[in-house]
Amino acid sequence: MNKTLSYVLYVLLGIVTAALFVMTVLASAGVSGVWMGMPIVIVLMVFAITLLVSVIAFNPRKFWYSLGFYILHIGIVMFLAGTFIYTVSGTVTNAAPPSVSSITPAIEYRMKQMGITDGQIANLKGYYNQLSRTNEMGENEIIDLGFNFRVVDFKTEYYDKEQKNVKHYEATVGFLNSDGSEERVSLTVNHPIYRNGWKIYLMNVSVNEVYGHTEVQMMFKKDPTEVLSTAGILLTVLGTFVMCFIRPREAALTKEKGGKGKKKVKGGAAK
Amino acid sequence: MTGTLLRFVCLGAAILYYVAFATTYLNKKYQKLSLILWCIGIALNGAIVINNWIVNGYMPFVSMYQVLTFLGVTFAMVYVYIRYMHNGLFMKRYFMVSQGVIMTGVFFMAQAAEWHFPPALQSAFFIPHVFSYMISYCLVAVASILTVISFFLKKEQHALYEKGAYNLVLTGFPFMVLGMFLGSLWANECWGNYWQWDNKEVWSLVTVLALTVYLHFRRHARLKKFAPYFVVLAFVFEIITLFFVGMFGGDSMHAYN
Repeated sequence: MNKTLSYVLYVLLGIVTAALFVMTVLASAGVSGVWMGMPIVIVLMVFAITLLVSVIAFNPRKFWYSLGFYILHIGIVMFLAGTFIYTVSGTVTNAAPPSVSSITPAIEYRMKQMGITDGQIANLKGYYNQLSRTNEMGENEIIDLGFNFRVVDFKTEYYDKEQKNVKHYEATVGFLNSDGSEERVSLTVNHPIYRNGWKIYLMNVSVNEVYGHTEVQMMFKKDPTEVLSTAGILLTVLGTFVMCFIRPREAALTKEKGGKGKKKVKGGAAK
Repeated sequence: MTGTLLRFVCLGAAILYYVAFATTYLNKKYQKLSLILWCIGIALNGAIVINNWIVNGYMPFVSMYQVLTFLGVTFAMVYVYIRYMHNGLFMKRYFMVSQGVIMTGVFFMAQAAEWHFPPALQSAFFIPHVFSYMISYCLVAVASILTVISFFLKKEQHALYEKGAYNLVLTGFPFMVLGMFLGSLWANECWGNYWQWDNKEVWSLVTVLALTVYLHFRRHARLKKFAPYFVVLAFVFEIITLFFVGMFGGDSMHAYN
């Protein structure tokens, strides 16, 4: 890579860093929408172009160094491409189905007192196969999941008797099989489950303010680029380690000028 | 250990770190004493870590108190690697004083050894994510000290300190990248997205980018003179990420207190 081009690319990297720094300060100061507008898109595009040009223009000399360079930079490009494609083609929506076990006879009675019919209660406790969400255009959209599910039970464990510090959340999700049987799967924080291309997360839990039953907040995500993004991340980390650990360290710490032996350091601990 | 005893042990470790640091400036015959004092300091620091570990039953990385006490020991572990892999003997005193500063901070904190482990942190990513950051933070902290000192040194010593800082950054940078991307993979499992643009995340990204700029600028003849400032900046960003985002970050998703 010639010196002028590398100068331009390095300065661009500095500008991207400075821009992100300014935006970070603004966001930390409470300015809203910093990460949603065009500026961040421009910064990320400049970053991606800088990466691509450097990958194309780089002239490898030392094998391990160039290998690390390509793995690292291509890894970042893959990750950015994955997140960009996900932004365009991915789907995400939330739902808060009731935990069926929390709809006790007392709560059912309260519901009926407030005009809810038996059919509506049965629907509430039944299976869900569609979710609604507001899309990017602000329109309401119905999403067909391609499977039927319900939350059979939800448990919360606490560290203390006062029930202030939560130890564990666990939802039991029931999936309706085609033969009418139900497959029950445990869903916990940090351990999403996969179903029909959807990744299902346990996000939170709340109590319905009107009737008092438990509502389990779940997120449903369809990300066709998860493999690409994850591979990009792994390559980035691998490339960084290859570049930084196989690159020879500065010789001045271990050798005399042009000679052998360890360098003597004046004043203090060095022997 | 009770809170009072923990505070005394912490104070003892801090004092020993400072005395060991000061002793490195004495005659060569005192260097063994410095090493012994340092080892006792590390042992006291390690005793607090082990106490935190036993009391909670998990690796003590959750509260700031637990993280900082572990960070004190991490400096020692990192030094052993740097000492033997990169002949970093002359850096020893800067590791000592860094540990002293950290344990002084810990001394003034509430000695709350017991801390509940919230569900969001109960993940296989948790320990490698935090530990990678700890390693990188230690190395960048000492690298920035070396860089600042190098500004005031003459040619040969300046080169030694500047190159020492470079070697520390080369060792610490991959761990910072690892920590950030492990966090990203974890976020995808916990919150459903690799990146949330959360305050702590973006400050850690800016820290990584500052070090990236340093490593790139240092390779270029015309930009090399600006490079050292980015190590110091990275250290400032690191401090902001570690302490100030947690304190003033408002609704940060990384606040578990």
